[in-house]
Amino acid sequence: MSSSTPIEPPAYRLEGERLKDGWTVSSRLDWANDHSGGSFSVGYLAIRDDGTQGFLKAFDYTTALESEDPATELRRLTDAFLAERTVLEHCGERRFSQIVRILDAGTIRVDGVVTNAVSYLLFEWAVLDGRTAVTQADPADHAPMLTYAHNAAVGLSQLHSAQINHQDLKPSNLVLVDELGALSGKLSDLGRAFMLGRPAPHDDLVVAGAAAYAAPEQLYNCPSRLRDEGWRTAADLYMFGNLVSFLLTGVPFSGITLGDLHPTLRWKEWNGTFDDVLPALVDAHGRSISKLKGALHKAVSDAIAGIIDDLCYPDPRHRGDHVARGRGQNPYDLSRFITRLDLIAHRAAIHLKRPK
Amino acid sequence: MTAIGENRRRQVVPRWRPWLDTVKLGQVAMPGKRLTIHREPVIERLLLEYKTTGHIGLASEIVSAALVDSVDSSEVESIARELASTASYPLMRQMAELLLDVDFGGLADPAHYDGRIRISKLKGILADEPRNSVRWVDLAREYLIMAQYQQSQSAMRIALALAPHNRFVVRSASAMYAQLQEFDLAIDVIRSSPSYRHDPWLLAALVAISDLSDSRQLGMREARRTMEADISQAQLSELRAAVGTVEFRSGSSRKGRQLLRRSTKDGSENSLAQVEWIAHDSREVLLDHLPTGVPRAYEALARRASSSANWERAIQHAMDWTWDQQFATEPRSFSSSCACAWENWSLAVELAEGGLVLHPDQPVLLNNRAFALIQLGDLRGALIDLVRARSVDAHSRSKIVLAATEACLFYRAGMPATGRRRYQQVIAVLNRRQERILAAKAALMLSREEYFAGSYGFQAAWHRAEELMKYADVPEIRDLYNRIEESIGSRSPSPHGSHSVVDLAPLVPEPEALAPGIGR
Repeated sequence: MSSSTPIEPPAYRLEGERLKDGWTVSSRLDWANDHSGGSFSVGYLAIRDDGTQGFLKAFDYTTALESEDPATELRRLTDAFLAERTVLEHCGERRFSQIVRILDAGTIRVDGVVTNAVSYLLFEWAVLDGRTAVTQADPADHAPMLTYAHNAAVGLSQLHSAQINHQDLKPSNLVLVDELGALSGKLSDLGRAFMLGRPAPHDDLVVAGAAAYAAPEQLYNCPSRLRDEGWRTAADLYMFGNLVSFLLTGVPFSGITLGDLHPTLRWKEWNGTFDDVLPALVDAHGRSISKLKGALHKAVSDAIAGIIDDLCYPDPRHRGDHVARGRGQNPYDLSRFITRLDLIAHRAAIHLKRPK
Repeated sequence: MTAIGENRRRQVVPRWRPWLDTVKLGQVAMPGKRLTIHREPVIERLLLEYKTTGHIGLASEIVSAALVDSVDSSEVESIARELASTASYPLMRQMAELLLDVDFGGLADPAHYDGRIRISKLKGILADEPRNSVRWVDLAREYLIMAQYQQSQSAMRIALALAPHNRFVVRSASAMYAQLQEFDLAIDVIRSSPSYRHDPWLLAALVAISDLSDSRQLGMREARRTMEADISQAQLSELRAAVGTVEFRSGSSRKGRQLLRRSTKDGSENSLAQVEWIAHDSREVLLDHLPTGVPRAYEALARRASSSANWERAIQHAMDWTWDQQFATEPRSFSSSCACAWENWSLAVELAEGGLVLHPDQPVLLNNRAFALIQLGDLRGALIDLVRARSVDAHSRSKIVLAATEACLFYRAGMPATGRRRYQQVIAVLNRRQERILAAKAALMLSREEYFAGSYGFQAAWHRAEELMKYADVPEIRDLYNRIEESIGSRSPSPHGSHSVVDLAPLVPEPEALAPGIGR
């Protein structure tokens, strides 16, 4: 007698599974599931015997096999898994301090089903992410947020030094990890990353990550404004500026800039060229920078607005550190932003200390 | 005397409006084929997560994603409402309000307009955003409105350096140079944009401006090719109007009429105004009714109202037109001419003065104010305007109209013989030029002055005017005839003094425009 109840794919049935090194898969985190762009992944909390927590990302081959084009989807999924693992291992080898650490990667065989293989990646557990940090923060106290922004800048700079572009920087992908009692911001989810010499299924996409955080030249489909792979770095800078804005004002910069455009100019409505819409974007950008300044503490508002102005400038040819550009240096090099954020973080810690 | 539609040549020179107004009219770029890009279903995932966690960081992310992705959802709206009322981050509240209340406003209120404040604000913006090309264009427009021509051109040059190929910038620059009568510069700006050969809005500007200039006609071949392309009616409207005008004037009137009529289908107000102007100029009906719902069709409505001698309505629309194109002289001269035709002399003075503040040497405005001042009894003021008008460069038609106003002043100043001779010369020149309507108008003006001067020549002048009216059977002339007939019936002749209260010596020499042989 056969049962009419559909059987859950094995990637959804990992609770209680034992892994290497004393890890056990604990509860499923439905909000962490990803069914976009051929990802088909499921999130879990994993716990080691000593009580250490981890985040497990399981790749769901069954759903890929049940798709309309299983061969393509399966290839895309395995490619995505291998690509992300390669990037993470590369980062691990180079001991990148501000990239979330991969603790394990492998395959689980689930009993009772024919297609029982589930590949997984196990990461260090994050206490918070950028969104929960903003929720819990005091909006007037910029100091801790500036520290996280600084951490993120270091993380992105580390990736860029290895010729890796994150391509999906957003508040949920900045995680705060407990390191010896202090929270440290790290970049996570490299599933959309681009790495030179390592092909990935999403390499040909103009917007590899979430459109809501993408740079305008990506949304308006004009990445070719910059030669070679420079546009990926420029887009990373834009997304990083979005993230800094979110940490300090609670709002991604795209929301106030692109949301301020007349509806006919928004990327989903716009049919013209990027060149034609660019003056409108520059105009909206200027208005948004003014709004942003007004929302920050005066002691740091100009400096922070200056950073976001540089990072989120709509024309990628003029994006990046303006001083570096003026000196003929690489404006996309994040080292100057790291210094700038460090300085502001210190200034904020001194000037914005709230009375106890 | 005044003349409605003093402008003897009109073309669809680009309208120049502030950036945001142009955006609202959908004229900043060509629609093309939208390319599909990969897109993650961010909102759905975030909403799912929000149901389990419900914190404001996530709410902010949802509202931001909805704004960027133009998502219209009641679920997102309710999150935005909550955020707007409870968020402790000021920018979060502002962003939520942006989603809840997308009000992009209408026209600014003319009553609260202050050009100096606008300039100051724009300069403030540009100090922070020096690469903001559209605001440089807006600044150039404000300077032009304030008649600060050098500053206007400097600001426009910066805009052009920043965005030399952007349609809005190029069209605005061409409108500015056309307004300044720098047609060659206007043409150069358009031709330096690589897209002018296929962008109908740029081609329309090129055809129109080269038609107005004395240079050879440009852009017609590309225009014909573009009009054959698969482009929507709305995008081709001004191009059809520009080409139609050229065809109409160059003898292909059937083809021209066809194009002009087609230009009004789903067309811009500029095309509609062009059709109305040609209809008025050629005294033929091109459109039975004006299409409704065309945004800012002020000029077309004003011209249509003036064609039926509905002066009050024509002035109302002309005032909106003035506000829409504040830097232009044509709407101001048009509205003051209508006020004179309506015999609302104070309003005519006020409207002309509004234009003279910005264009102190504009002959039509000087003439209109002088004519209205004569009717109000301010002969000295009228004399000053007419002397000044003589010293400025004007089209021959304007000079003839000015001579008629001088004739009127001679009558009122007690020099009927000089006034009579000047009127008669004006009528003769206008007849030679086949300007039937103006000739009839001048003849009616002469007979009115003859009547009030108690002259024996009144009957002859009146008969002459009635004769000329047979060739000028239009509402404007019939309205003037009725007004004069009424005033003659209600007032007795009241000859003006035998000696002049003002010294009209500067106006005694005959204007060149009236010399025999001129105007043939």
